[in-house]
Amino acid sequence: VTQSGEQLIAEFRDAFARILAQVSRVIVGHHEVLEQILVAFFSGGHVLIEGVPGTGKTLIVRSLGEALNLSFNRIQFTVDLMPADVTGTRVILDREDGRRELVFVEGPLFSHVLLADEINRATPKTQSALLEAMAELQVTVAGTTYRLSPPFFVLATLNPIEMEGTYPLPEAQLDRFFFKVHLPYPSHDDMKRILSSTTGSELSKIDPVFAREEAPMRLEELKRLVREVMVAPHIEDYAATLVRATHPDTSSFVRQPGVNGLVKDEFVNKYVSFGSSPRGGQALILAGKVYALLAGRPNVASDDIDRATVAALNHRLVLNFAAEAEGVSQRNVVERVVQSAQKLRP
Amino acid sequence: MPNPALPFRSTAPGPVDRAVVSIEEQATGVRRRVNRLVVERALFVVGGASFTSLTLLVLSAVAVSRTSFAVITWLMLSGLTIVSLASLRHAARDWYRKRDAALRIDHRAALDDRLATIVTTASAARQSRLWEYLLHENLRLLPRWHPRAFQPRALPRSIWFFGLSLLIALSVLWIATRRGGGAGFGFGPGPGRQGAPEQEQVQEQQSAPPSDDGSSETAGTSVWSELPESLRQAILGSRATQNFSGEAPEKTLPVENERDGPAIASQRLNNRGPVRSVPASPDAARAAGKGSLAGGATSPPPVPPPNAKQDAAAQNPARGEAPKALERVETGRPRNPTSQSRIPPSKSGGSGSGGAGSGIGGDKDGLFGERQAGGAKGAGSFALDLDAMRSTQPSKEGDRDEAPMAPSSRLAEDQRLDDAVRRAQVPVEYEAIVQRIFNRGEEPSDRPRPEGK
Repeated sequence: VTQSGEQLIAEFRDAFARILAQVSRVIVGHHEVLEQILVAFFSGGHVLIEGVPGTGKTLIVRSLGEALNLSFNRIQFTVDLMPADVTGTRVILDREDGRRELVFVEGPLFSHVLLADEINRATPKTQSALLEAMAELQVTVAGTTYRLSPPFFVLATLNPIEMEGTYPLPEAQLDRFFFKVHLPYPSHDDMKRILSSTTGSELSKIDPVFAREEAPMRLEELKRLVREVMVAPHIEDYAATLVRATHPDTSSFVRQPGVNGLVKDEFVNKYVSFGSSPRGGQALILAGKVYALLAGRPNVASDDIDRATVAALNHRLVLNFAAEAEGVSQRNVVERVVQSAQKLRP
Repeated sequence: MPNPALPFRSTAPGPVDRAVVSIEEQATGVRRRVNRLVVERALFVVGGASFTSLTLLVLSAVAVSRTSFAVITWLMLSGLTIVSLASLRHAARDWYRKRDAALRIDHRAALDDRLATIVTTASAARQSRLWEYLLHENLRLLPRWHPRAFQPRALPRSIWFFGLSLLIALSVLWIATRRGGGAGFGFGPGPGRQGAPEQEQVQEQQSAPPSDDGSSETAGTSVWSELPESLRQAILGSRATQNFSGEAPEKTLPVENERDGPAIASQRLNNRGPVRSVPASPDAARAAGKGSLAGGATSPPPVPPPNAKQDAAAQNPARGEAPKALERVETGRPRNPTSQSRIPPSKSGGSGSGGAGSGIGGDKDGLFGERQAGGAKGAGSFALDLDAMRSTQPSKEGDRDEAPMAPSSRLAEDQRLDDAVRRAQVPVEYEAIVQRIFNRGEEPSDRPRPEGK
């Protein structure tokens, strides 16, 4: 029996650790958030970062781009931003022979790493310009489809305050994000480190993990390895159970003593209007695969699914007015679901 | 066997296939070991509970009344059913089914779903570059869930419960069988066991059969065993009556004794029931006035006695009860001339002077009347005359013919206890035995002593 798989896993873990270490040289703290962002990246998903201003959202994305040695673009979403400003547009180009023709000029979307800063300040029309690119890695302009070069990774930031004049993301677009991570305020120690490292004469510098020429290929190879991680049927069943448990009408989930089978979770029924989509289940499995590789395993375990549940499902739930009135967040609901799901394990 | 059409394609299992087979075989071994332990645990629990229930039932059978025994029995059965169902449910929960055995082994051995993945993934998963590493990991972790490491116990702990309960049950049953009743358990006298001293005394006497000439115990045993069953029971009842130390109850029907008596009475306690004297011959039965006793359909029909009270007393079986005062009976009992006894009249008593066994009123010997050495029917037998024995001792000679007994007298009813003996045709060789037995009540020692003729 050969152990080539072990070497592949070791290479993945090494690359992951090196990227994380490079980003952590600039970003103080937020280790869990950085890990989740990288997990989403290797899963082929996109991340929505929610945090107050000044917590380093933009710095994280830029540092990640530098560490991965990939092309990086930034779009500051505003109210007057148009879709063409994101995807690109066709312009009239005067040729040397005097003829004019329409030429497509790529927008900032055509990059490996895209930072959509304060995405909720753009109109829904502009926001939806990202939908096709995020889901299908292609852009269609004037009837012409343009492929995006992989890896394509969108990092959007969301400011939870200053909601006036903003346009909350539609559910369809929220569902395109693999993870939604919350970037909290740094702790006291992290704050001191931030102050010392950002106010000195020498700023931290990020060394790229891969060479620029081979970076996309190497990263795509690692992403393919993630897809080869094996998942047992009972793990898939567990993920499906988690997703369906977020639905108020099919939350036959929590096993209660004296009841043969599953019964509805009243917590979900009370506060949730709409549950997660199947994309949530896909996110659970893919993220579980990355976590399995990080743990050195070629297979997904139940714990890997649990680690990804909150980040993968919380932004896919639509809570009702009762939840908003009682201060119940989506994270509370998902955590409750995970706690109940752990009882179902054999 | 390789396919001759495709000689280049080997069907011999490769190292990967052998590794997978070894993993599956070990999983099967673990499953069998666990399931065997589950079955054994359930069986031992149910068996132990059954033996415990049996022990308690045996103990309660000799210690509590019949009603309490019935209640305890139902409680035991209910408890046993509950235990059995709980064990069955527990076993069903712990049973490793084939489809989820790998998963349960995986979680219990903390394999992080490695075993469940390699067992349950489809063959398409073998295309993964990580599959061989997964196999390698499972092979590395094989010792962790080896059957003996996974389930160290070969036998469940419930075997101690089972063995202990079995030992106790066998001990109780052995004691019960050996001593023949609850007396061997050392319990206090329960309800219905007030007559135990008398019973034991009778038992001792029964175990020591009388001998008329003081010979060896073996000879006595043989003589005692040769006695007719009816006579032995009648004698035992009479002896128990004589040895009764307390006050005779007004009504000693066996129903009352059985109502509060032990649920399972020993053979000794059964003797307290109605003792039916079977006459030695139909003639003796007719002489005793109860021709339907113990004979069933083959017995001759009873001859209606002239005195209804006396007949009722005669038809009632003899019981081991204390006799009432017999003086009034002996002194005032008239001899019924219409007695159906076919015993020839004695010389001194004359014919028609009384009922069965009567006709010896003037006999000086008193107790046994005249021996019937001759004659077609009296050869080798004699008729008892207990009335004469009772009357001659405490009363005077002239009192016999005085004060005829009223038919409704209680004394007449009490006399039925000895009717079977009184009216029986006893072989002559047992005369000394019967005499000694009936004299025992007046002797200070209750142990039969040999006496010469």
